[in-house]
Amino acid sequence: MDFPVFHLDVLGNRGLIAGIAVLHVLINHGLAVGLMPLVACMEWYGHRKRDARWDALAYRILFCAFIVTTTAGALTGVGIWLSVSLVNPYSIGSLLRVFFWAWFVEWLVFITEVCLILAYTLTWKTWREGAAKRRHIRLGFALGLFSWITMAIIVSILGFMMDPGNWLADNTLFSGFTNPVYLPQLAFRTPLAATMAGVIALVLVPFFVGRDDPFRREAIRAVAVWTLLFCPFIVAGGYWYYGAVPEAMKDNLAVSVLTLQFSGWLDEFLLLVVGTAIAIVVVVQVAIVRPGLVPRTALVLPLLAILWLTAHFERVREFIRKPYVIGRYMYANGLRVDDYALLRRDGLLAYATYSNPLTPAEQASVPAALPPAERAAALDRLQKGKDVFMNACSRCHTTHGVNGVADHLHRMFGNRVWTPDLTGDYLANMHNAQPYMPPFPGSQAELGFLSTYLEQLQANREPVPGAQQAGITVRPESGSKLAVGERR
Amino acid sequence: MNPVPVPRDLPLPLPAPEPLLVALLIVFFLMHIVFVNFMVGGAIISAYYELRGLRERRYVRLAYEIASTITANKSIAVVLGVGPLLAINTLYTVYFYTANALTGTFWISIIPLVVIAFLLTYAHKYLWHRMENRKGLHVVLILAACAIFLFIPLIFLANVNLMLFPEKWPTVRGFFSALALPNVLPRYFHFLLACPAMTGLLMVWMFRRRSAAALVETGWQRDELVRAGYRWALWPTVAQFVVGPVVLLTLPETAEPARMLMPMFGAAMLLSIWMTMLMYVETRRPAGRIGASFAAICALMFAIVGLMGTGRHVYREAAIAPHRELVRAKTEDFARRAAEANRAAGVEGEGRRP
Amino acid sequence: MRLLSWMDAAPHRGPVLNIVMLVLLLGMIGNTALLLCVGAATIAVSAIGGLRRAMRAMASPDRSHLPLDRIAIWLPGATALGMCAVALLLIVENPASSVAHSLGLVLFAFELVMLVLPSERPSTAGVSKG
Repeated sequence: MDFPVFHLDVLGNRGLIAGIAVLHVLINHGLAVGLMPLVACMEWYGHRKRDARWDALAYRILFCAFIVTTTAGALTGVGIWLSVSLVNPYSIGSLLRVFFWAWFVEWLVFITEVCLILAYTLTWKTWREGAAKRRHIRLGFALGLFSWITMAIIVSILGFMMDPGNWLADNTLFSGFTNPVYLPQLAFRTPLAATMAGVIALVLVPFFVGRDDPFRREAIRAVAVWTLLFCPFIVAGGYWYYGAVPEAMKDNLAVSVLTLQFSGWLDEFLLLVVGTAIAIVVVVQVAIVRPGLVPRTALVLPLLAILWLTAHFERVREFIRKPYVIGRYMYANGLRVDDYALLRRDGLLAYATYSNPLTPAEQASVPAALPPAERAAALDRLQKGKDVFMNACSRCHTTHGVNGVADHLHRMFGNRVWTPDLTGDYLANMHNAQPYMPPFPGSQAELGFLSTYLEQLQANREPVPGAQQAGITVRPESGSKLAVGERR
Repeated sequence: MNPVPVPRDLPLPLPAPEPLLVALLIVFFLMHIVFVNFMVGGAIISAYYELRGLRERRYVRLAYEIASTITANKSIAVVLGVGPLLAINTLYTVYFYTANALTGTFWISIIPLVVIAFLLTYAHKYLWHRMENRKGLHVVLILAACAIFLFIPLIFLANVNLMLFPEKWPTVRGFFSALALPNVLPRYFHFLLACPAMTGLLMVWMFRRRSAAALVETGWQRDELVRAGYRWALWPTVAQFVVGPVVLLTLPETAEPARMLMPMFGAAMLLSIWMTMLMYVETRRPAGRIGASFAAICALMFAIVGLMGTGRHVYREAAIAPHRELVRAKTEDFARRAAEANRAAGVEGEGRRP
Repeated sequence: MRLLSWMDAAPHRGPVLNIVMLVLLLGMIGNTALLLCVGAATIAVSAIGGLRRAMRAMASPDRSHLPLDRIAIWLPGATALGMCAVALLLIVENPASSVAHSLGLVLFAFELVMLVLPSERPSTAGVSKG
């Protein structure tokens, strides 16, 4: 990647995207795509039965959703974009070139969605009767539809990242859009969103309808029916989705689900997932049959469970795609598959514009007692090693933080000194041992430099700042020869 | 001599003809910034009236009226920002992302800051009546939102400025050094003055079409409100005649001369003089005739904003056109070498693990 | 006796107690084939009872025609049936002393209870408030 390297050495760069993105998915599935149709149905139901209690409840649920979606919901959406631009600009830049018009259409749909939710919320109290009320209800259903459409568009791009399908051959937007994972993923997410919304509404009802009010039981029962209705579709959609995931990526399942440390516990974990899903269904069943029996606290459990399951699913979906960020086109380090032959021949650094200045702690790892020429050479090797690390490894790894390379080396080599002889072979063949690792994108010499850099991590535990703090320097071979004075 | 970085770009072609993307960038950015003006201006003006309202009760209602507009304007401002972001990411990939990375901490902090600001404006609006007895705390809500709204533009300005000067990229160490580059701060004040000015015009529009019954409820006469709007539009615009030239004069020199720049800004200046005069005349008009020139003022503002946006683009192109050629050459060179290396390695199909 | 008067208080309490005792017994016997046979038979009987109740509710004169109310007649029973199947799967696929097997037993009992338990009647009379 030929950009200054933004780097978070404690949380890790993936963590930045993950935090923002998972929050966004939970909000948009549970409070927008899933909840808007539910609210519209509630309003319609109350209108048909001439029961104002449904209307009042629907408005209060909508208002909660309105507050959250128009603040955190909208901004985390932009936040995904901003964070991905920082962490992996080559991948988002490439996706933008392919899917520009899809995102443009999505944007037009967003504008419509924003206008609709503003209108729907802000006219609720004024469009109360007769034709105005009917118009208001139609507005609600339109809002539900447009929310779903935004999801339908963006899911295509997510599917593309996993398996670009025919795009690799014919490079058109249509072939990218209609990738093999698209419809299965959409078939999975739509009912998931509806169920999530139902679970959220179940938690909200007791806040808005008093315990002694008989309406509470009716409301809980109705929302529970909504929630249960979509469950079998989640299972069917999930089954279809799993079938569409490329075979090679399924090999990553254990690590993606549990991380490397716990990957042996996959069976137990799957049982936990099944148990959690069953628990959600059971609580909702009780809510239908004996709504009075279910205390507020019990309703929170399915909510936490479904939020956790969804968040974990997103983690699995992202990880399972590795070593690629765009399947078969670009590795997670931001380098294209097609560029590897050149980079392995000439070296990664031959085509890297930027260099990441060594920190004082890193410089201190080279003994001051060395003669100046030797010291300079050692520092130069270390600098190159750092640049290789930042360009090839830092998108997913930190030094000593989350997913830290030092921890991995410690796990593999313990307290033995991490000399290049010890670690070099492993680095060269990592991608064979761990299929989610991309191959090393540099020359043999650069492998040596990287090992040198990693060696000093054994003693040096200071976090490494990214370009956003430490700035960059220009690698001398790559800069332009514009003379000073041409620009101020 | 500091070498100027010349990175390589993505090898994929632009998804649409460049003129189309440029039009998209300019038009939708202007729409976005107008609503941002409404949002920030609304917060500032509402805070001002609420503070005055602590002494004179009638201003409290006015503060509420203005605060109510923030809800819709903020959401529209955010959603309209997506389009220009799409366009700038595509047209200026290398430049924009580089600037983002170099100011990354503050760039990403836009998200939590805006969320907090929005929640504060919601609290301010929806808890208005419940906080009748806690006016001090209530004002703090909108002042806090204002503080955030006044800080965030600095982040954007630092970025779009830094992206135009590749020779500065190796010299920057984080956000504050990018902020100190010319001419971010003059541009900031230019933007800041535009906020109450545009919101003033919004006030005029709003109160001209308010029904008589609704007006009675506010405790204000229509002409008082319209005149207040015009005053908010007028005086910051007058101040722009000082700040504007400062911005122009402090613009860093570009790699290529920007020939169309002066004519465009010159035309904008003339139209601004005309518009300001009309605004002034409006503030002096009696109740019966106030608002007669509103359409003309809006048309002039439209033209001025259009000229500014286009002028800005001319400047942008002049700043980086030569560098873009270098980047293009480097990208092509890299693609050629990669193809050559693939041929030499006898690559068997794609996706093969090396 | 207190137990008898408790059981008399509502008609479903007897069957529920029967179910719990039955599943406990089957679990203690530990014979999977027996459990499958008896379990399937119990499901069938309960399902037929539930089906009859649902048909009666669909035909009832004060029934509501709105989608939510019609779905609410069928969905609880259908879900319970599906979950009974899931429970049996858990029981059959896992060895007798495992967590999954026990989970399956508990779930099976619960879902059978869901099948026989009638829902509280929702107020179908249109309430015009406000």
